[in-house]
Amino acid sequence: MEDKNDQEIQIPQASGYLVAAGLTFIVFWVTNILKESYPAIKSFLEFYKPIGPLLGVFAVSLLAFLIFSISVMC
Amino acid sequence: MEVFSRLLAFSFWEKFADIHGMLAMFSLILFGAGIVLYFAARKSANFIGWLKTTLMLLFVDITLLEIAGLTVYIPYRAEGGPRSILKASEATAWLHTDIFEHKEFLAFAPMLLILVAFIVVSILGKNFNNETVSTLRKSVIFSLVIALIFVLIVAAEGVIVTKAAPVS
Repeated sequence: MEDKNDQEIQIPQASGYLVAAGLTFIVFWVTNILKESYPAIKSFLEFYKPIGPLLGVFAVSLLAFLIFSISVMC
Repeated sequence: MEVFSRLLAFSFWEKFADIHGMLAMFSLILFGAGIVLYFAARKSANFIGWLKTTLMLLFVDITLLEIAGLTVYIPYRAEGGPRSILKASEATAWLHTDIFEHKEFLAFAPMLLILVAFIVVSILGKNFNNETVSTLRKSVIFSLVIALIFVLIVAAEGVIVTKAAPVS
């Protein structure tokens, strides 16, 4: 019985992280398209000039994963 | 000894790029261990902890690999660096616009895939082999295999670009 309760809690939580990862990938490719389409977004994503906008794309995507993960935990 | 003195004579960025490559090679060992341990954990629950530890190490390795990759961007994008050399000739421009651009974006996926695989294994714990969680369990091996394929593609693309214009 205890095992069943464990699983009831675990399955939605683990699935939630998979969904969070999927949504993060959507944020990642949408950010890439926006970066190429709008120079203002490209320049905003250049957090550190020598590395370029890729650093911003990674940072925004990781932030999105963090937000989605927190919503899974709540 | 001459070999070591020649290796030490490499510039800082050459050494850094080599460490970046070494981290990628190390990830292949961990990918192999992770895939083997997945099937071992299916046979015996004793290996679930090992699988979790391997996934955590793989995540740390790939995260360091990503950080090193982003840092190598500094000499790559610098004036007169590999990017400028590649873009200067029509014959080699595609190596930056197609191959390198593809490599840099594909590289994001393995880190997240392995992180989620680690989280799923951690959450399932002793219930890893329970049939009610078979879909979640399959997501772990799916993440491992897809992340491995992505790392292999990214590594191959890195080699193609580096052969044409190495970081120095």
